[in-house]
Amino acid sequence: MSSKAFDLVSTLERSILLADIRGKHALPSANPVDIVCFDCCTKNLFIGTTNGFIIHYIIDERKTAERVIFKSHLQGKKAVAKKPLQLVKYVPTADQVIILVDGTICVFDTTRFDLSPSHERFKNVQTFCVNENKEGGSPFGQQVCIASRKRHIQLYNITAEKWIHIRDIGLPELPRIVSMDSSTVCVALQTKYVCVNVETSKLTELFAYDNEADTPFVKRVAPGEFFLGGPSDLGIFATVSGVSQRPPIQLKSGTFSLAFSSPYIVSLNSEFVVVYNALNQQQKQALQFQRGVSLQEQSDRVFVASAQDIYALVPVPWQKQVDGLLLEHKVEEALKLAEVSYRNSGLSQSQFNEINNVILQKAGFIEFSLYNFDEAGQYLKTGGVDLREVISLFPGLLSVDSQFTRSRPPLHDFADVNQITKGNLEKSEDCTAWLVRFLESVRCKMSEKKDVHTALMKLYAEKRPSDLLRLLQSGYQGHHSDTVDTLQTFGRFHALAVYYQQARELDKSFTIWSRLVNKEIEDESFDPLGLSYFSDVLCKTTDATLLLNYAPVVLEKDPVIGAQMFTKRFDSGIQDKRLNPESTIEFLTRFPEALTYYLEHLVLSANQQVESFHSHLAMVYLDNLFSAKQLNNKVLIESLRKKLQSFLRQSDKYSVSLILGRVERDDWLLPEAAILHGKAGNDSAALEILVNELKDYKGAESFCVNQSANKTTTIERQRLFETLLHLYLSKSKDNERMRVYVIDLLNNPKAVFNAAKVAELIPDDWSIALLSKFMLNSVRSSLHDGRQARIASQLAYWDYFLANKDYLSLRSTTISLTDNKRCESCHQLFKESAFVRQADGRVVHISCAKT
Amino acid sequence: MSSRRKVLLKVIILGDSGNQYKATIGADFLTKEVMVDDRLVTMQIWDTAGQERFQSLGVAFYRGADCCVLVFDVTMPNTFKTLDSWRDEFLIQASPRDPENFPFVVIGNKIDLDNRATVAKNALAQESEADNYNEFPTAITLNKQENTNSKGGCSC
Repeated sequence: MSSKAFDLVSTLERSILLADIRGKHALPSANPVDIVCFDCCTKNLFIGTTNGFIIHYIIDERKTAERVIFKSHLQGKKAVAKKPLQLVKYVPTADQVIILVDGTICVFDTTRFDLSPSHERFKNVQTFCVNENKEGGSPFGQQVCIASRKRHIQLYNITAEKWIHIRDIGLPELPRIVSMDSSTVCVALQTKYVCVNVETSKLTELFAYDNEADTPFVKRVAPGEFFLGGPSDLGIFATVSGVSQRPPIQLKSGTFSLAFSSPYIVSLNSEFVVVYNALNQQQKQALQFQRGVSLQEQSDRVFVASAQDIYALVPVPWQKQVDGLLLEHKVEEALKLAEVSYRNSGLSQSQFNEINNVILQKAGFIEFSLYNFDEAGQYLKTGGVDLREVISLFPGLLSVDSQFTRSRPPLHDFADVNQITKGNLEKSEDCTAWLVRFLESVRCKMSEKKDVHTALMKLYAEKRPSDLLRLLQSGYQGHHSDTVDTLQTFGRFHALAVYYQQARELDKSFTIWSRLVNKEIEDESFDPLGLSYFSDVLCKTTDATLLLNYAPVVLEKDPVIGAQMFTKRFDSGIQDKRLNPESTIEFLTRFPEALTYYLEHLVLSANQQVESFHSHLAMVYLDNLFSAKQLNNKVLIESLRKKLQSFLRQSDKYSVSLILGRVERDDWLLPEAAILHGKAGNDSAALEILVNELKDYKGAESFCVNQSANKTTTIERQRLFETLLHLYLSKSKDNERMRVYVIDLLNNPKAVFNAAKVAELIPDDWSIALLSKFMLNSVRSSLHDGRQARIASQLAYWDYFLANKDYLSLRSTTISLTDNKRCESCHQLFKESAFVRQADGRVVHISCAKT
Repeated sequence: MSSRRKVLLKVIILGDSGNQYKATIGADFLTKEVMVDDRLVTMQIWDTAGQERFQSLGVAFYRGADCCVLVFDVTMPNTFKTLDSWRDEFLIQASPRDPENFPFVVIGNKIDLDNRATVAKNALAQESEADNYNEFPTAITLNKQENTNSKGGCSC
């Protein structure tokens, strides 16, 4: 059952009617007095009774907020016949009521409140009707059509003074019911319906009906259109031209009276008042109604009389109907109803859309209250609901200073979601979860952004911290203090820091992160990110002051990560005076490990060729070494030394004297001193340390080999090796084993010696056998060198010879320069006799030859 | 605006359905809006009841029709044979102004049950070759619709 289209409101109660008929103190009569017929026009109500009375009431209508109340005022009553009145019709233009009683029409004058004696009575009348559409007719008169008990209808034009007979029209059968619209009378004959044009007297047959099985009725529903009782209780629409333009409606059996209140057809049978929607031919409403007599429409309401009393069917305001439909989940129907109602009221499309949206929104809230979340979301979304309206259902989610007030009239009756869930925790969780989904799925308008973001932030902070950051990082516009308070309350410190970061309040956000790093406050969402996250953020900040302020937090926790902040900045090429390498180094002095890392990065990875960096790194290495020494950590010392030595060997940029000054103070750093002496070109000092102090003969040898690679001339190389040889020999005097080293050195294929000098240096008592290999090699290489030199000399001579030959042959040829000869380079004529002949034979200007 | 001008086109569907799956009460009714040359045409399609007790209503329903669709069931040869009488019935009841040129459309329905349609096909071939359908003055569309039901098969 669809929602109601009409409310049944009592208009005239039985008790009042009886009292009015019989007088206040009358005894109950044995004969019941019943209503037989009635008519109403504007406020006038005329009732015909079984005992031949006509009673006139004025009906006052009062509207309260909730409903309509009718109050009846008796105007007069008159017994006009002894028999029941069959039909009464009030004709206001003529101040007359036409009464049909016992086959006779009599005219009742309402001003005198008595039967009009001047009018004739019409006898043998079956029924009559008043023209319901006067279009084209006389403005002063009213046409009345009388169906006689013979085979014709009579047409009269009536005024207050007289009835003017217009014409009679013959019919093929006896008429049973008539209804008139403009110039057409629709007549139900004995077996069929016909339309009679009263001007041309032309008959149009509509259709036949079964006069035994069917109850005929003729109801004018629109200009030029009637609604007729067809076979099998089918109500059929037909125009005056006999065309059916609307689909038929299946009525209840025994329907005998009809009324039309667009778009509804109201029907009456012995038990029910049934309302049909003419647009979809569906039954809209059914009311039990016993002993119904007839229906009369009057403006937008329909009066229905039973034998006992009279009611009004007051149309339920369409908004109410819509609400009713919505409660029944008939959203489609509600929208259609609204559409029809609004089309009728002639509103513009945009106004209608607005209404449509409100209905959708209402539907959405109703579905929500029933936990039909999918539908709710869909309706609210399509209806373009103000998202704050939804959020406001959930207490405390709107931002604290929100300007939002719920729409008037309200879209729903709920104070908040608790009223819906009635404290059911599970349901309320579901609602909240839906809200999150809903808000996420809808694009919010500018005006809503603040509240929507705040609400989502609050929801995420409480339930889904994982989504919090995404929200805060993508154009978050929530309320500031609300955001800060909420995030603090729920301990979402990392999110709070991110929020501050987004809000460009970096100082605050860094403070929070440093507290998180120092474990002063806890937030599980920060734990997996930890120090490296903070260092990344710091590294990316453009504000050097902030970086320097908060860097110590990171540096203390992890010097490498801390140093990486600076190395990354250096690599990314961000130019900043306060963070150039020099000041960074100065800043990092407090953090030796980080400083080492930073310098290593500058020098080794970034390959910065700046003396101070290299020197500083060497010094730092030394410092580290000293501190390791103090700790007596042998493994560490070993690794640090290796590092230092390899650096000292590889780098050429550091200040040797500076480092040497530092190294020479400590005896245990002799190897380093040796390397440094080597760097300084002080080979003998280096070798002396290696041989005399360290007794590292292999090292000394390889030192020489390495150093010799840097020397340009053979003599220098020889001198280097001779120095070493000299040192060896000076030691070999008291150490037999040194001889072995001497021989090894001499036999080293990379060593370079002047054999003659060596022969001088070698003590005389050494056996030839010892030196034979060296000597052999020396002789061989000398021979080789000599031969090489000879070949080179011969080749050079040959070159000279060829050049000489060319020179001679060139000198023997002549070049003639004529006036029209052009330079082969610039293609201009020669203006003077000087020219250049190039190696390839081209003759050009002197100036051209230069270029 | 001419494009918004509404034109009403009343279409009547007639014919016996082979297997009665649901008897129409009075008339089934549907509307379909189509654009024809910039004009919005509302087709009002009346599927009237064939039962005897509703026969009398034909006159009201058929009147004012702009087109009549005669439908038969390809699996039931008889439904095709009765089209003649339906056409006559229509012309009598609707009494169109120019009955000679009134547009009729013939639709063979339920072609999806083609495997059972051999008899009907033969009948159709014979009928249309041999006799009265050639005498039809109006254009006959033997709309052996590819679509499987009559809803999509309407064309005028």
